[in-house]
Parts: sequence; structure tokens; C-alpha cells
Amino acid sequence: MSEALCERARKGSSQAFAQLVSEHQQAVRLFLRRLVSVPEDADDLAQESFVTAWQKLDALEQGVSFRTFVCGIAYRKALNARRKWQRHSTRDTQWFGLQTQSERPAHETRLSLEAALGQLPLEQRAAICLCVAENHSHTEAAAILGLPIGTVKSHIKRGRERLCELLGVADHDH
Amino acid sequence: MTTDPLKVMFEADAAQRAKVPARDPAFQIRVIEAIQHRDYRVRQLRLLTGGILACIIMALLAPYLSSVGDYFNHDTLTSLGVMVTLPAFILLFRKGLKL
Repeated sequence: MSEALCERARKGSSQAFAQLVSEHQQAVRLFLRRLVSVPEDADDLAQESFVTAWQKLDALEQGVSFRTFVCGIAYRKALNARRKWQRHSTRDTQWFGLQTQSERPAHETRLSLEAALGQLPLEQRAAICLCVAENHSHTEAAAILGLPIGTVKSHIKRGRERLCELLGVADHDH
Repeated sequence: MTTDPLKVMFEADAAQRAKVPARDPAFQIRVIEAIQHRDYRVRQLRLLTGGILACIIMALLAPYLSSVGDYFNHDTLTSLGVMVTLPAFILLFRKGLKL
């Protein structure tokens, strides 16, 4: 179904592309909301991701699903947005961020999932969100993140350990 | 039913979050509008670039055309101008300027 729509969209059918957007917007927006945490920013990035997907539809390889393709674009957009934010953020904000993290006592480290995710590097966060929260396979996650499978697995392992530590739950993998 | 506590937390978190509807026509319309807006800007840019390019080519050719025109009388020169300009306009504005 999706492949037929992709084929029609590739030939220039905006109706087919609108249908693809309708089918996959939920997955892409949920993925970005976990990465970006401000829902409005996540939705803006999702919109940009779909526009880029429309432009680069010819680059969609055979055997790669449209969802994987758009999620890959969305991940790179989130990376770029974070880099831009880091460039513009003031030294005071960074100092404040470091202070609150280092001064938090060990017994108060049970955080909400969102706050705990926020403490992981973006690569680990994305890998965890894709494979644990959204049930993507390691191969799909590797295609989305543009990383080797081994790297994705190690991101998941380290991310899980850190998350479980922050949330105070036992790691299921151990 | 999963036994992974992290997965359970993610599921609970997803239930608490502001829901993203499975079908969201407003989002769909925003994306299509953004695509149309972008395509329109690209077309405008191509038209502008084409116009500038045509002007530059005409400016470069003008001295040679006028020297050719010197061999002919004024009427021939005018018809030559029309013969060059008319197809250029047709190409630019009727066929959508496919560069």
C-alpha cells in the first residue's frame, strides 16, 4: 500500500503524498516529541521533515519503508536543531543546567521518564525511543539513525542502563 | 503483555502525553501547504534566474547583433529584434521556463 503511494508520489502526485503524511504523521511526531520534548517544536520539525521527504523522494531506496525514510530525516533535523540551540544558548543557561544535575542528591534521582530521557545523549535517546518505545527492529533503527547496528545496540545498552539508574527500576536485560 | 519495566514506563508515559491523533487533517494540510509554498518559491526563483540569464545573454549578444544590423537597413534590424525577442518570451512565459 505504502509502496504504491510512494511510487505515485514520486511521479508528482501530491494527493498520494498527502495520504502518506496522514498515515505516518503519528509515528514521526511521537518520535520527535520524545527527542525534542517541546511538542510545538517537535511538530514544526515533523512538518519540515515531510517537506524534505517530498523533495528527496527519489532518494528513497527499494526495501526501505517510507516511515524509516522520514524518521531518518526527522532525526537529522533534530540533531541540527540541537546543534543550533547549543550554538545560541548562553553560558549562564549551560552553567545552570550543570548545577542542577550535579547538586541533585542521590536519593532524589527518581525522575519522570521525560526528564530522565533528557539526560541521555541524543543518539542514545533516539535509539531507546525507536527500539524500546516504538518497537522498531535494530536494523530499522540503524537505517534511521545512519549508524551501524553494533553502535545502535551499544547505544541501547548504555541508554537502558542509565535510564534504569535514573528511574530506579531494575534493568530487564540483566 | 510486556514484562520489561522500561517498556511499561514508556507505555504509561505515552498514555499521559498529549495525544497525537492517528489522523490529523490539520497537520496534513499544513504539510501540503508548506510543500506548495516551497514549490512556488522555487518556480519564482527559476523564473527570475532565467530572466536574468536571458538579459545577460542579450546584453552579450547586443554588440554583435548591432554590427550585423549595420549591414541591413533599419526595418530589417527591427524585424530581427522581433525574431529574437518573440521566441525568447514564448520560451520564458508560455512553457514555464524549464531550465
